[in-house]
Amino acid sequence: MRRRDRLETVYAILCIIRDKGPIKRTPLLRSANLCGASYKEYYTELTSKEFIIEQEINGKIHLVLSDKGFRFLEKYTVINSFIKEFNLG
Amino acid sequence: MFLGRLLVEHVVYVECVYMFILTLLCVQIYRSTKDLYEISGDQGIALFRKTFIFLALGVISRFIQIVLTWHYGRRLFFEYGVLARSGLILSALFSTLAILYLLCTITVKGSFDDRLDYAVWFFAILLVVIGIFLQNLPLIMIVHATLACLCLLYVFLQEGNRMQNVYVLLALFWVLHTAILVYHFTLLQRLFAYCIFIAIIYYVYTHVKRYIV
Repeated sequence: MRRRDRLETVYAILCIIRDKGPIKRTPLLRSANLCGASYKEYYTELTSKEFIIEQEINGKIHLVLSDKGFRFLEKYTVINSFIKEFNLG
Repeated sequence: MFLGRLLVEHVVYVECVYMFILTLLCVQIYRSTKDLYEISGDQGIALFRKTFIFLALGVISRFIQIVLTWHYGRRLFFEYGVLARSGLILSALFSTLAILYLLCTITVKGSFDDRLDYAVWFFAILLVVIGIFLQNLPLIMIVHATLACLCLLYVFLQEGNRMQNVYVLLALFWVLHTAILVYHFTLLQRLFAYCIFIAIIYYVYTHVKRYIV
């Protein structure tokens, strides 16, 4: 099976949060097919880039997509093609 | 005497037009990719943008240095007045940063991080300090040529795409760009080199333009 590249994984995670959000950590981990260590890494990246926001619902932390996250999903194809054409990935 | 002065002035005019076109193209590339970078936060795109902004800064500072040395009525392009030396330091620094970021764009890409960024700046400043202290611009040019050769070697060994070949051409012409400053190229030779260099940057710009969001 082909290994997913970083941008592809970010896209997959954001799609899950968009479709199933607000979503808790464990279901997200399961749906995105990530291990704990990778999740932590991606979680840090996504929060630092402000793609996702934490929301407290019934005392539990849920993740939702930010406006920037939505914009990323919209422009993903363009960004991906740009990175591929200019060999930046 | 008059002919000589006219030729010198023509060189300055050519440099001015060249600086203007190249800066405009590089800044356009930088601005056009702003949105893509802000949305993705991708380090590969960041490197790509840095390369072009430092190319622009390199060209501007190089032009300032040329004008300063010309203004002081000394031997064209290479005399160590205080202002001219400041222009030279900036020109050498930005040129080195541009070629280093280009090398990183080809090799490190998305794995570029802050530590590597500090290393790039450290190396560039060290090279400029040594080059200026020893009053040895050819040394800086040799280092640039070595970096361009590294780009060439990397692309040759990898299965690079078309754009990577363009990056290598860009690196090689950037070395020529410094060589023009160090050695006395004729006006025709300059024009020829500048036209090719502008064509390369324009090629990149036309490809970037497709992705303006």
